[in-house]
Amino acid sequence: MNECVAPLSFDTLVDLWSGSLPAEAAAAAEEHLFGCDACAAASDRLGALVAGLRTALPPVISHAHRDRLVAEGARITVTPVEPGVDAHAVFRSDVDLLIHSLRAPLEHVARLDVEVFDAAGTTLGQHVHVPFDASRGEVLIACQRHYEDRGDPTFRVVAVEGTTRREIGTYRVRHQWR
Amino acid sequence: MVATRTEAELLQRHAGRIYAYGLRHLREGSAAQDLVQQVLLAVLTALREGRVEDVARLDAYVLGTCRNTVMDLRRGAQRDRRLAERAAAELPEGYEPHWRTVDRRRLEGCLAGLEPRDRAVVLATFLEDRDADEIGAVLELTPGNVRVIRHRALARLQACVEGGRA
Repeated sequence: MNECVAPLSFDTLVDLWSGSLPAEAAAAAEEHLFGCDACAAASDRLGALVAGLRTALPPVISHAHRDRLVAEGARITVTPVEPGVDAHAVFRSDVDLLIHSLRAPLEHVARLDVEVFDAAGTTLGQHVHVPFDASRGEVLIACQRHYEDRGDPTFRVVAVEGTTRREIGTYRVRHQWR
Repeated sequence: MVATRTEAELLQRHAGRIYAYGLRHLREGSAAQDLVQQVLLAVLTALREGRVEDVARLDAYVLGTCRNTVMDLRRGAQRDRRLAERAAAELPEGYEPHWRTVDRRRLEGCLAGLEPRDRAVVLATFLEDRDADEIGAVLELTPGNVRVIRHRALARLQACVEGGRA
């Protein structure tokens, strides 16, 4: 392995992988990576993480993300969920993913947060600035098969306006896993 | 195609770097793999035909070939699968890049362990392709703050994913 006299910093590598390095600096960094074994190895470690993030499936997804999944051939079952009314979803063996479509009046909402609780009321996750479609009045929850052992979750959707938090609704989905 | 030892070393040394370049510029793993095949075949052919003027600066030649190939790919509406397949068929065995992958479940656990705002920055960057200005406007942060949060969050994620602290 050749010795590196001017290693690229972790921050520079993050900027490079996130596309936020100015063009000239990015070109210089690329040039360095092709000639430096140590920095190429560090970049590859970060690259593996970035590649994983690009295919990650967070609990709340955008409509564009759902469309990408469909285009890639994912088998999806969508369950409409109204606030305060238990919805029922079946995770069949021939399905890759459940999407719970939480319905809510979202006109004029700028920021939305989603809190997830288990059946005992313990917080499973807090998600801020989640994607949503205001015109359709939908927030999309992606439910994966390995969530089975978490029980039936409750989702609390909150609109944030300045310092004020306003609950839009609470949603519960009862699952059958097959 | 039978590769000499020097050629085999060349393939081994550069395949991963070309793949990483492809991931950064073309995003998809399959497109990056196609880039590896096309670039390696072009470089190997140039070497054999004596068209590489300064073999000591082969790294720069490979990078230049990457840049040109990516530009060609972007100019075309679609990637030419047939070209990539032909390149793959003509390359000697063992050229495939050794690219590590992260455990998806572990990554999910590590993401869940981030502060909600940090997670939002990371997901907006890499899942939704938002730049620091766009993310900052939504999260009410300066672009500089977005970058600082992103650096910190990725360092934590990397430590968590590699260290198993999901």
